[in-house]
Amino acid sequence: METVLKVSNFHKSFGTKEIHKGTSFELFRGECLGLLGGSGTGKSVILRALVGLERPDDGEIYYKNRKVHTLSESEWRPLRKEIAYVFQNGALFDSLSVLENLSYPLLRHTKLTQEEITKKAIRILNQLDLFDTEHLYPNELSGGMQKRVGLARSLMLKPEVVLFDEPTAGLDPKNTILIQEAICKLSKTDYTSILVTHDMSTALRVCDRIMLLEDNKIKLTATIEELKDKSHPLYEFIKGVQN
Amino acid sequence: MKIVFQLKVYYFFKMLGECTELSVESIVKTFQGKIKLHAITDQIIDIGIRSLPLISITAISTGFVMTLQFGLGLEKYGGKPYVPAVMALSVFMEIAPVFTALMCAARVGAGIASVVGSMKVTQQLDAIRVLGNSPVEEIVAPRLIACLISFPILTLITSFLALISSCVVSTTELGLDPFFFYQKIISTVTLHEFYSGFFKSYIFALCVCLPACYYGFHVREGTKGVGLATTKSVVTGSILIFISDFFMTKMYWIIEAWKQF
Repeated sequence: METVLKVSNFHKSFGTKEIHKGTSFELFRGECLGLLGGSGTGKSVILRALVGLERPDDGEIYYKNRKVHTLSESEWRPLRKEIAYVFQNGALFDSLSVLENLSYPLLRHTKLTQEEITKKAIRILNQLDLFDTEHLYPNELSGGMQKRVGLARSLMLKPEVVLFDEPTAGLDPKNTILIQEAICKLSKTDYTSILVTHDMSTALRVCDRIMLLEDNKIKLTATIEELKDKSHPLYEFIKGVQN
Repeated sequence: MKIVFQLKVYYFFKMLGECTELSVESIVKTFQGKIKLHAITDQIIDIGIRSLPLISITAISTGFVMTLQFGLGLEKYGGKPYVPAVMALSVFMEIAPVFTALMCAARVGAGIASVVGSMKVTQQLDAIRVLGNSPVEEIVAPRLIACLISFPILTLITSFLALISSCVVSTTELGLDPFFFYQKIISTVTLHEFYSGFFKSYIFALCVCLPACYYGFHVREGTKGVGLATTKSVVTGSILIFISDFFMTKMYWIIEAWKQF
């Protein structure tokens, strides 16, 4: 299997608080990797580092065998067409409409006409059950809709890797299912993804492999197949959380 | 106490250093043609045109009050005819650029810091980066260019309005002839004196815009942090206006002294 992203001996501290002490893992092409762990274990930190929003104190990050943790901000910019990040709260530009939010990355990175961009945006919105929302502003959308618009915006450039930061956090069951379905649809296409979540049902439904972050590093890893074995230590963890 | 002071000085110079970086990056992006024209015009409307009512009221009331103070004060010594000259020099060289900048530090600086700070808190700045753009290109550069265009124009408008209001008070309260007032202004103010105030407004634009963007980018504690950033941007902007005003005035007089030799 081809390794798309590789994190090796990742260290990160904020002040005196050590968040990661030598976290290492690989992400293979086409898989959806779930990152589980308690609050403050640094799940989002590692996701932010993978897209260049945080720099590791020590350790290395490779994207398609290219060292990326030392890249400058301007060197990162072209790579961000390939690695998309879906923010926990959507992080939509509140002064722009939904259509303008979706157009933003295409206007920056492509030479498509406004008509082509609009068509593409509406197609993606419809795929995510966001019919007739293109002229609304983020404050006119529900939390679940904002997250789906955030997801739609990150998919506009057809990235190779999608990083989901708690996509179902704080959502009602209906919106959770909608997001899960959207991610499942993506998994069936060419996307490789990492999903940071607290929500076990989402992780079990969407991911191919699950990793548990504990004590500042990756403690356990298992594929969904391996988790069918009830004696697997990660199964015990999941059962404990679900209870 | 000493350590706290040293830290404050350290952070002040750190802020100045980062503001310089922001301005250099903004200028580079502008010359690379990466800044969208509509982003600049939007900001000119917000920073320049929407500041006009505040600037006008400040200019007119300052013109009224200062003329009255000078006129009635100088009357005892027979100095009433000097009012137009005194007013013209003080308006062009100090009052117009400084008062315009201070009013803009309160209105524009606070606005910029709160918008940028809110974007930081809601991760919109991160979203700009993740979508392959630069927050400096998107946020700082259009505002900086708009400030550099708007401040000198606002300063000119302030000067004009302050002198008109001064003329009105001179005529009605001090009994001076409006034509005499006009003649005195023309014969007193040289181009150098006029340009010295005009030049200041460019520096004041930097003093207002860059700290506001800097504090917006460095918001840490959610909405409380946004409020703090807004306050800091207004305070720092005002202090920088006064400090830079002193040095620019000093520089002007040094240059004038050189010319005498």
